[in-house]
Amino acid sequence: MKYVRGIFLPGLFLLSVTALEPAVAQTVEPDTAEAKTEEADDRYQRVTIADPFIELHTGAGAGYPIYHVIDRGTQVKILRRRTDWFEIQTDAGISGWASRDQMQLTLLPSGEKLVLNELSEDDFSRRRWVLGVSAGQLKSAPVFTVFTAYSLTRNMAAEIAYGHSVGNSSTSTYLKTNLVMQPLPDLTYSPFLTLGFGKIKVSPGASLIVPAEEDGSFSQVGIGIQRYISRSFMLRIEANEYVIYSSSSIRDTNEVVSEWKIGFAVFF
Amino acid sequence: MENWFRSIFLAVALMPVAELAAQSDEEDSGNLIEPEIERVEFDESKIDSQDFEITAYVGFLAIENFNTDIVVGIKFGYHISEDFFVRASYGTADAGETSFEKLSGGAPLLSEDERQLEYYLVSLGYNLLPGEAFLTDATTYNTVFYLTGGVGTTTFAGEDRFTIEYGVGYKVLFADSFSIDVEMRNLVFDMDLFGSVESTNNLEFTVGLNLFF
Repeated sequence: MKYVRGIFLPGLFLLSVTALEPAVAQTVEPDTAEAKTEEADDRYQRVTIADPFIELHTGAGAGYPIYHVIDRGTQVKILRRRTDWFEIQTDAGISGWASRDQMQLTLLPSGEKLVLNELSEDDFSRRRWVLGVSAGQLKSAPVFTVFTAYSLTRNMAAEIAYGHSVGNSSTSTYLKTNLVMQPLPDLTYSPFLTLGFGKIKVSPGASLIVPAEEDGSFSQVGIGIQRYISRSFMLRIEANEYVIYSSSSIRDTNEVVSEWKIGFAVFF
Repeated sequence: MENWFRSIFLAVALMPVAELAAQSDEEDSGNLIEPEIERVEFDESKIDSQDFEITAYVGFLAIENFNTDIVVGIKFGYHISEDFFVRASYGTADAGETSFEKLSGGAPLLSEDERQLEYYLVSLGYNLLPGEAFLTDATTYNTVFYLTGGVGTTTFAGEDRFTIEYGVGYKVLFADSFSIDVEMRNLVFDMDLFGSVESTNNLEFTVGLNLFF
């Protein structure tokens, strides 16, 4: 009997391996059917819900009521985004808004976990365009500025700002261009230095007798701090000093004017 | 059977098995390394985003000391989050005559040009109470009651005046991207036309049409 057992065991082993082999091959069968439907509906991206369920709100906000719930495993199309909310639609045609947090728990068609581009501190330091407004005081008069900046490198940006200051006896408007230097763009509170020049126009108020407009050019130096607040928003505090080159015949000393501002900007 | 014979027999019998296992390993690893599922790149930037809003509005502006007149304007907004948004607005109105000018019949205080009021403001808004309103049992609209506050400049009576504004609004979202809002704002700026400099409150009541894009 010993030799029978001797043949029987390897024989069994042989059989079991050959039986298993096709089974192993089956688990990695390609999912071409799913890939084809994606190409057809290329306009909208598709994901599969991996969370036990996902809640759909009627509007893009937590304050809007939940009116539908989608189960795990359902495939949805992402129609659009508004702030941190995505409008998704199931194959049955039911659409609603789901928050970014909930969408993080979905899967791509290939089975990978979806990584949504949550604009993080990293993106903040990689931003290209900035558009913002700030308000403050220019030599004791309120000033209000609109600015836009473009990142040249990680540490330098070129900025153009238009300012409007309304004082008791005069109104000033200025247009300046700056170089913004950020030595440490990765910090949460990132300091920056500005250096620039521009033109300022001072229009004395109508209540003054014989008002005369004054035009002057100036150079400006400033420091400030930027802080990333949310997805694409930042807060900015700055203090600037302007040296206005006098072109009037009355004064021949340049005027030095200080300004401080606080503002917010959108970056993208 | 002798042990040695059994060992040789086992070795010989298992050789093809080992080969088969190696083969299937290759095939399996071939499948595992190169899955035939198409890798679809997910690109969030391809999703249509609607963070911006544009509004055209019309309403009334009660200019303190002057009469109440029609104001028209546009607003351009950006929604930072579901709760906060920032908005730039521009509006214009024509002031009429003051009671003094009407009653006294004397020389007008301001020229026609100076009566043209223009303001531009930048405000921060907060969506305080989002919700749903039921027009009928079956018709519901998303609504939001919001607060705004901001600063800007008003050009009136020949001068630019620093302005502060604060207000409330109620917006009803009729369609996907289209909504109508009713807003009440107070524009506060200084006027020095009547002797002393005084802070004036100019209430504005407007209806606006908004579009998300």
